[in-house]
Amino acid sequence: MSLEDLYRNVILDHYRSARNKGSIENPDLHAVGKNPSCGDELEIFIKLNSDKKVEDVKWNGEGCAICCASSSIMTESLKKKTKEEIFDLSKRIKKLIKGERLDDEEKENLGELIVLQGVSKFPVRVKCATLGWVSVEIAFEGKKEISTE
Amino acid sequence: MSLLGKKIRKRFPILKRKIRGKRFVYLDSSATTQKPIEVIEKIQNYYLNTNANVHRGLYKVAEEATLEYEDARRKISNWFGFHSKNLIFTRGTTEAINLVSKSWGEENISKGDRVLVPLSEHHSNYVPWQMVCEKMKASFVPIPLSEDQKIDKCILEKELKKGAKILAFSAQGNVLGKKEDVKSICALAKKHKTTTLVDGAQASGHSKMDVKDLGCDFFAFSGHKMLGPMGIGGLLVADEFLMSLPAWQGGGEMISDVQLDSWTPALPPYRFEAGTPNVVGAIGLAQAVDVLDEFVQLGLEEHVASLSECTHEKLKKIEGLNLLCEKNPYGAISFWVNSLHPHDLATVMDQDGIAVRAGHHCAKPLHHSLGVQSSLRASFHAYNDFDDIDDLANSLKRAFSFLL
Repeated sequence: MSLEDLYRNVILDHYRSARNKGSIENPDLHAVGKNPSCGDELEIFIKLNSDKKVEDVKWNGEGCAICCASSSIMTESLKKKTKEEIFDLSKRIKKLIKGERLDDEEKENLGELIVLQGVSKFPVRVKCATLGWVSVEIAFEGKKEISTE
Repeated sequence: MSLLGKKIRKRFPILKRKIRGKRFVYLDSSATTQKPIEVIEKIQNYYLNTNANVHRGLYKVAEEATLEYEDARRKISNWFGFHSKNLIFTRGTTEAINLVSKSWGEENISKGDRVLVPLSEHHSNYVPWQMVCEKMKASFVPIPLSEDQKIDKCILEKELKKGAKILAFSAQGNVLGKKEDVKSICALAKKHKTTTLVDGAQASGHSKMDVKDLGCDFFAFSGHKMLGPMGIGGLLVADEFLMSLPAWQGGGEMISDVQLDSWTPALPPYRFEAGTPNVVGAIGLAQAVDVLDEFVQLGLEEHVASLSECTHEKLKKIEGLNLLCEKNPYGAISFWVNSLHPHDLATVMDQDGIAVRAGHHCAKPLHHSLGVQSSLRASFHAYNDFDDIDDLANSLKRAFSFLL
């Protein structure tokens, strides 16, 4: 996929009309992720249900189109998932974005997320695309903030 | 017709590279300049023929290395109108400013003193002063810009009148591309008994600067912005400060004697050069000064000025693009686009072989004061030509066609 196609087909749609953007009052999990060199900064809010599955998730923040779109796409795939399921998914997505090879089993059930593979061709932008995922991980680990540098 | 641009482009081997099949359009000289073949060969020759530690060995090669290193100090200090003893080699501008803030600053700044720094400064001339003020419990006073986007002289004079230990400012900004009237600002500070440090990182990149004539007390510069290698730069220190400046790093070379329980510092400039210096860096920079001298004589300043003006005019006409500098930028043109992050634009431009800087350019307080989070910057040197600007404008238009 060319850069133009990546932006046209995926990134700009989520960048202009981001899904699940906003905040949650009294979230069960909350974390802030930052890429200091780019100025990307986002917040993750998660509400869990009684089974410890994600009931609701919101993200908020400022950043480049790739960072915002990736976070928007991510929030659409987290609901009704457990911590273990999310960590498994996050691991696979980070491999995908970094351009590492996924075996057939790892490719299963990725749905729309597969488009993030397009970012792997632009190595300097990998940390923009992974920031949302990294922030969700640290929210589950009970840490407040992560800075990628 | 300029004698620079296309005519000298072939002396910069990296510019022959193709980037994704396209011509390499390098528009990031404010970050670092590309290196001419003469400098690259000088560095190679040093390692092929002359490598030895300086001021230590008693053999022929070490003697040659020492001679070349000290010749480099002489040539570089003369370029700035100073005697070689007044030039302390550092890693670059940042280290030179940190040397002053730690060595001079911790000796001369005390509780309640005031330090004046324009808010447009690069972090390298901002954070070291914030640090010393925190440590010594002094006041860090940011000076705003006036309508012409240069240091506000009225506010500066008021602040100088209240008394200030030091005024640290750039001769030329790395974002707005504004040149300050360094000589009159230094004279004003002197009138109020305030010490001056001039950050010459940007200004020394395309001009011959007579630093002695500027009348500042300290002048910091970076070799890599003057066609020289990375990791070498310097601090020029006025005579009246040189001898009283205390050592800041301990080690070999900076001492005249060491006893079991005491040490005696060497004379300047060696007092400030602990450890093995960047010998090849200094020698490479001396070669770069020769090339810079040649380019200055061929009209480098006029060349950069006309490229700046042409870019400013061209970008002004692109709808949706906002320029950070309203009038007469020099050397660097910064801009931003509503609802588009600079990193997205820079990635698209990179696909067209165009290298620009995107981000806050290490000047967050300035961006904050302008109400912009970050921007893109195109900056120029001798090897740039008008076709680079055409390519820049065309790439921006292509990016807008699908991003906006």
